[in-house]
Amino acid sequence: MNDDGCYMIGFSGIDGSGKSTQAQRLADWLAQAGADVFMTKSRPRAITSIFRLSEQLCGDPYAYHPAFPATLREMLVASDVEGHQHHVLEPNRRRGRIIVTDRCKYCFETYAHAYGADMTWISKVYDIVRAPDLIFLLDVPGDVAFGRLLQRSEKPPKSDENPEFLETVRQHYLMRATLLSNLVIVDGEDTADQIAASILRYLAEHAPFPIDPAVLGQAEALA
Amino acid sequence: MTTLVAIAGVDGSGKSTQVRRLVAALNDCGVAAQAYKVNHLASCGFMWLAERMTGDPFNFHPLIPSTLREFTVATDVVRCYFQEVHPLTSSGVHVVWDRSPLCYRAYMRAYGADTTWPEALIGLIPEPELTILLDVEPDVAMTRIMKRDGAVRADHTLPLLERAVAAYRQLARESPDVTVLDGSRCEDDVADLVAGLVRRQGWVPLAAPCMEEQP
Repeated sequence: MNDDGCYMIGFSGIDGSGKSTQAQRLADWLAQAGADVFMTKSRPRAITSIFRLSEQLCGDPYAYHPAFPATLREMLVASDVEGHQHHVLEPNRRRGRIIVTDRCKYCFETYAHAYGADMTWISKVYDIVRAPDLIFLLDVPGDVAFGRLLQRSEKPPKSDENPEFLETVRQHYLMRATLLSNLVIVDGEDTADQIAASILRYLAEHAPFPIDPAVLGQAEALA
Repeated sequence: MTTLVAIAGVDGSGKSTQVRRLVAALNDCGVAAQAYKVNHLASCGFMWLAERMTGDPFNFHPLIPSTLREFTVATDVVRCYFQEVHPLTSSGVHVVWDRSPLCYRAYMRAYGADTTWPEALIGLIPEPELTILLDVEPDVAMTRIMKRDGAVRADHTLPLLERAVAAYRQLARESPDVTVLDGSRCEDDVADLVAGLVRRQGWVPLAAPCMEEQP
């Protein structure tokens, strides 16, 4: 644990990799084990103006790439991430909670790189955003992720969610993963139950807080 | 019909004072009116960054590229307009906007930003029914800022005020919807002129004594 008693776990991966599912499952398991857990996701605020502009100019709120300059767009994303840290993560960190974040600054930085943004100032913003103590990268090939996105009837794929771009982002993730000592790559093609159990098992072995063996047993039984 | 009135001008021009007085005058007449100022959620990140880099949150210019900053400011303005201002006017409240699209256009020029994309964003916002520019000379604004704030912030400099005043005047010349008032007059005089302009919009009964112009 950190000096303040907080521990932050971030989930990362391309769209369709299963981040939200696994972040929620982990938060549920930890809560069931009696942990003071807080699950969160950076809310888009500044970037919503881009969706509005994209809709006006292109007729599609998600046709922002490559219609609008990546550097400007990604600076907005960075501002949103910075605001999320300031207004949401820090207060919960000060309360000494276990924080589970669906996406983290590593995700947003990776996407900015993949979009080809000029990172000069974007990186300076991310430098003041706290990194998770532990990051799980759910690794799936671009075509597998795209297949999953197609199945989300409530949320059709965005214009930049295509197998080629998803694979490009995946390669950026894997390249950047070699630079991070606190990142664990998880095979995202396993079943959701198998992934959830393997994540909980990893935490039971490595996290600086105890995982109730009974809860781990339940997760492994499901897998 | 409800209306959006914007009061614009450089820092130190008296915008906030006149917004407060106009809202009070309208409320006194029984008109549902509310002051509004953009909440800079995204662009305040530049102040955190400037503070981290220099120890002073207001030392963002010219440190951080103005195009990045002004684009981010524009997203705050668009978000606030559609999430907060538009719902208010749609629900029957007259809104008096402290700053306005004109302000953000003037300052993006004063800061030397590439206005292409910030302008595209600001262009999403419908023009207010009435935009009042409180025009003051830069040295007058500077004197007021120094009296008001005590210490002068890093982003309040005379050269910037000069560029902002010039940008406002240029934009006002190009925009028939902008009414320019002499903001260097005393507060009461300016308040009367503002009230007179609004009265002529037909928001309130012409006979309403609280909105009558003073002789």
